[in-house]
Amino acid sequence: MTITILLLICQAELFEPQNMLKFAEHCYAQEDYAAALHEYRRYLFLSDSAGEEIYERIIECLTRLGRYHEAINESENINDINKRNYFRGLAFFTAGEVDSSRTYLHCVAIPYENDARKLIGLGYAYEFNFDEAANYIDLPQNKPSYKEPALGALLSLCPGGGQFYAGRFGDGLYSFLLVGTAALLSYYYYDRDEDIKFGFTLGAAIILYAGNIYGGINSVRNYNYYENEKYLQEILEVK
Amino acid sequence: MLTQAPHETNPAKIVTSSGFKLYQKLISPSQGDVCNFSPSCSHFAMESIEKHGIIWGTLMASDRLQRCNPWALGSFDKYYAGIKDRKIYDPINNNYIWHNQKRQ
Repeated sequence: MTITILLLICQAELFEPQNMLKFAEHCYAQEDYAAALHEYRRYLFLSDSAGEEIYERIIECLTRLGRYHEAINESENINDINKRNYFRGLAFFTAGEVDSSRTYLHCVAIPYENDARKLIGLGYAYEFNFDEAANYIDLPQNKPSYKEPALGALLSLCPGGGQFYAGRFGDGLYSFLLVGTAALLSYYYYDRDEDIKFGFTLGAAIILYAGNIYGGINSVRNYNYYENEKYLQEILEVK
Repeated sequence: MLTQAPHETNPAKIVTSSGFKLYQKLISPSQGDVCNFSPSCSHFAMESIEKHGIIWGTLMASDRLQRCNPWALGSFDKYYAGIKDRKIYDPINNNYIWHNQKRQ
């Protein structure tokens, strides 16, 4: 018992709030956010006067740990409305709730305004709404080149055409061969008056042909999606 | 209390899903694990018919069958969501043309 008390007295400096803060900062710098969060909270508990920057750090730790809703609740402790809105917006943004983040980020003024505008722009970019994003951030010059799904459907009237249009040559060729073989087979059985086989192969040919047209639209749609995705990656690299 | 899943009443859906189940039990094992995609074409077809009805489901399944070809693996990084279980990850939602594709 006496030894334990003596040991505690000897190590009293470990319980000094300033040392706790130092350790918390160290953990934060080392990206050990769970430990940093724990230390910041201990510091808050033990210190008499803690600045708002401690709450900012706690919010950052919670956000980085994926505990977004706790971070949003924690932002209540920030008195400066400007800063509070910014941190709330940031937490919602990181949580993927871009719409909610905009609600707060739109209310942010100087000195956080530029950062807030950047987040709003990135939010729009995440939603592939690049025209709106351009009002908030600078976008790379080479905009995505979209293709027309309707043209994909039209070109698919010749089997595989839509897939070729979307740049999927293997899929286009395979569709052409598959639909062509089914159509030729059905004609072959029709010519030989084999009604049942004709019925089956005709059914297969119709389903494959319809699927090929659907595929023409789908491949163009996916092409556009990945064009957007590529452009978004470029934006993120710049930012 | 547990609630029971509602029974399928659409005869066309019952017939097609029974057909796919039969295929999965009887034919698929003899072929081995040959599908390029995850979920496999038969699972994709069953799920798409279940989720989007017989017409759209059939179209989606037919499209998928035409994409499951020897050249599919060559373009997995260009047109698909990535690799899952060493196969091209191609979920149903990415292929329903009325579904608005959004980043997750």
